[in-house]
Amino acid sequence: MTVDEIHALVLEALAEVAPDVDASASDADLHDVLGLDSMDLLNLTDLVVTRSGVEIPGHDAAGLRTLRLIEDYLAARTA
Amino acid sequence: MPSLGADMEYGTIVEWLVGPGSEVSRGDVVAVVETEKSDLDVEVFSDGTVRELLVPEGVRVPVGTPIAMIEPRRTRRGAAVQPVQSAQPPVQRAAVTVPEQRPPELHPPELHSPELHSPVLRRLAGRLRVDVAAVSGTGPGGVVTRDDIERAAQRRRPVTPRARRLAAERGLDLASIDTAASGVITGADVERATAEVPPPVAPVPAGAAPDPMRAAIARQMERAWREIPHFQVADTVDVSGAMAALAAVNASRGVHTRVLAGAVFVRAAARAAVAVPAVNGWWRHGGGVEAPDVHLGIVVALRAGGLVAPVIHDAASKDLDTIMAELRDLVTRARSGRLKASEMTGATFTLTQLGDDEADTVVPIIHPPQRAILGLGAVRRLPWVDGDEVVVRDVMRASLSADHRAVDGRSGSAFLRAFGRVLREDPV
Repeated sequence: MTVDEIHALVLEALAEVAPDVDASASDADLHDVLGLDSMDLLNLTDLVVTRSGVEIPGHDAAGLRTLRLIEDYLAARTA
Repeated sequence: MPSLGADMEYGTIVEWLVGPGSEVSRGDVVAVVETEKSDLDVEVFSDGTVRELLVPEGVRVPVGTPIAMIEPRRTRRGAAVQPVQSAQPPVQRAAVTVPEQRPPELHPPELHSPELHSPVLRRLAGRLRVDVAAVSGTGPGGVVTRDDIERAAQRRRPVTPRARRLAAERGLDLASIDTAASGVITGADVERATAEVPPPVAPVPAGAAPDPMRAAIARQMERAWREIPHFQVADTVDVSGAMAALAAVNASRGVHTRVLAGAVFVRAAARAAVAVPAVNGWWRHGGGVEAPDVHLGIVVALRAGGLVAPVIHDAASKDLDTIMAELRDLVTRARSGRLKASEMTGATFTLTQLGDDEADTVVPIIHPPQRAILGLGAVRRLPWVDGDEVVVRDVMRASLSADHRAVDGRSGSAFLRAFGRVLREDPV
């Protein structure tokens, strides 16, 4: 996947899980700033994993606290 | 109009998903009802055939108002017609039965006539919206019989009134629509087919009337605060073992089946409520009623503000994976989709969890007519005395608010001890 494809995939997943959240805030903390709770984050991770084919183990998922971190994680594993 | 919450007084039919002639089975979603808190899918609680819709779309009626007539299956002749009014037994009052008058043999249709001369059958065809001219009769000489009309009504794909209205507004031919799995053409099908986004809702300016959900929460909390003599007990629970057990459960799992700590606490709360039944039930009509099963209300905060409390039924008899699956489904639909009426009613006890990185204590207010609510703060890593040593443990503050008319402090404390015990000894 290209960086643009990954970006689009993550934004689309976020729009489904939390349509009211500002997706342009790539570096905002998904929980502290954007207000996603553990269930939202699980749903977001699930969509990203299903669509990208990149499994994200639990101990990695906990560290992916911003959209940019998720995108970087996927980019490093689909290059 | 079913009661979809203890504080609900009125409901508005947003959309009918069935019409006269529709066959329905217990559990089918028949209508979407708007309450002050949210739109809910209303299910039917008996098998039968919809005879008549009594409340049109867009009309607001008090709880208890019959909204449709359903003729039960298996009683073909002289059948009782039951008003659908309630999704829940406690409010199913005055189930008036009206004997249907239909003596079909009194007015046999004339032979060799394409027209229907029987006023009874004409009325039936009109009610079921069947075009008699298009029906081929199977009676003597090819006359159209009652069965023919009823069969034609069943074959015709039902269309909800809202779908009909939208299709007319947008110039869409209903025959071109692929129906959803249910076979009913709904407003959502028309919206999809015309690919039109509904106009955005204008933001409410500051200082305008409060939104209906806020008003409903305010009414319920005022009632709780005014009527219920609350007492609170709290305890700090060591959840290190539970968190380690959960990590072990999740270690080999993909994200799709991952379990959150919230599900572990739901499971423990339900089991503790079985161990201490005094906290589980209601206060009604000046007396306490202990509930035989634990139906656990789960407080779900909505990002836009406000909250709803859908219910995990029979929570004490469900395993961790089942609870997680239901919790995830309920929370997700509470936020992005729609809950069913049965999922919003019948709670015997409620749990509210603040979640990670939030405050460490919440002392909640009871949801009447329930008699207790458990509030859980964030899990923190804190110093803890274990034997004669100070160690770092995962701990959580658990607070129980209970109705002192029905529950005593000893039971409240016993519940918290039982909750902590489940988390230590049988966490997953």
